[in-house]
Amino acid sequence: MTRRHLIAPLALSVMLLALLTSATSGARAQDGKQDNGKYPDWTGQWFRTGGVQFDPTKPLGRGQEAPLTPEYQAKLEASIADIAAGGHGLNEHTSCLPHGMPRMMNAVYPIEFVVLPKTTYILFDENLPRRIYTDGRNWPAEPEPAFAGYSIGHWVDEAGDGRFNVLEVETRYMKGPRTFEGSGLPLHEDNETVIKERIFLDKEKPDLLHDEITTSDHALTRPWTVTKTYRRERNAVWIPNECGEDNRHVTIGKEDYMISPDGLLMPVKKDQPPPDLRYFRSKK
Amino acid sequence: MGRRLAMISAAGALALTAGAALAHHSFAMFDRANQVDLEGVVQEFRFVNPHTYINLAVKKDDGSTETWSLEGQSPAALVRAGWSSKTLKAGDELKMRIAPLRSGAPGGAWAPNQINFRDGRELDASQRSIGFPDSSELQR
Repeated sequence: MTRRHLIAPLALSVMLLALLTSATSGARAQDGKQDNGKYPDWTGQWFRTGGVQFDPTKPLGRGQEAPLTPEYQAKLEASIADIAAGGHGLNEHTSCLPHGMPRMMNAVYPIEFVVLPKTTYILFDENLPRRIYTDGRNWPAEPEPAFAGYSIGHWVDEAGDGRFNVLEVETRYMKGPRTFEGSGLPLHEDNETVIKERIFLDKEKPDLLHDEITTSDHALTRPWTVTKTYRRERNAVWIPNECGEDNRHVTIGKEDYMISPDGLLMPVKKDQPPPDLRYFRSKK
Repeated sequence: MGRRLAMISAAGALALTAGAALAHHSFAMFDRANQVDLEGVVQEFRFVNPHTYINLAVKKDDGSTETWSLEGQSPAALVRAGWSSKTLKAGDELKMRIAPLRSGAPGGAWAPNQINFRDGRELDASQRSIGFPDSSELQR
């Protein structure tokens, strides 16, 4: 067959291939063998907009108006009362316990996305990275739980233009204790949380990134959806925040103390008793 | 050496920042409503995570010296406001207004906009841009 006779069937093949790969809007990538040019530009350093509360549009704690069950609303109230008295309430991050999901997406310090075909990594200054697997895997049978959980994602091309614009994520298998924010707003101690996210750039302002987070948890009466927005900084300066470096806040039993410059315990509350020393043998 | 001056009530509105401190722990253990003026000599400026510390030697009324452990925001928060590990050093003589520990122990929290050198020199203006973290505003 001459070159001229090859052109027509070749062109037809290319056309068919283009039709198959572009498909319809909402096409999903599941085989992980994607052209990197199809992924959105999420490079840079992303700062939270607003405060460190879970729903950035509302105040901390009770102001979040979280759809808590009566039992967990009572836990929140107790946490707030303890914090007001100088304790840490349910906020175990005082002792450098990881934030876990979904709290780590509060992004107290800026975050970074590294998008690769089979995995999207979210890097934090004060938490271990999140891995969002986009290689088409199924849920593992019994993974060990982790504070960040286990995340599987799917890229979505909403416009059908051959470029992915939304990362849909589901996260399971978390361990605890976890709270939504520093007020101690709690998640259920059974750790059966399921979190679904839609992460996408703002259509009008591409230096804004939205994370629409829906949390299903037994501490809640219904799934709770909160949208977080991060703004991009192209000239990144990363300053690590290792909580364990010199944490002078100590929890012994249910009481909080501080370490003095000379390495001794100090009370933080008025008339606070010293810790129980029953295991120490006093010298006679 | 310096001395502790007076208990004062919260004076006006303090410049507030985003509540990075509540990422770690509550600010409520520090009494922002009854702040204290301190004068002293920096024993050590620890530019560490999760909180920076100024260990300040303060002269008491009886002439003895007491070291105060004064907690600040994280290095990340301070660097973005123009601070560095070299902003303060041992031997610097400071006048500070701090929020003391509610327990009465020699500890408290400091904010960059409430520090002066005792000889009248001011800190760099950029270092005045942040105050106590806006982290204690839990709705009661």
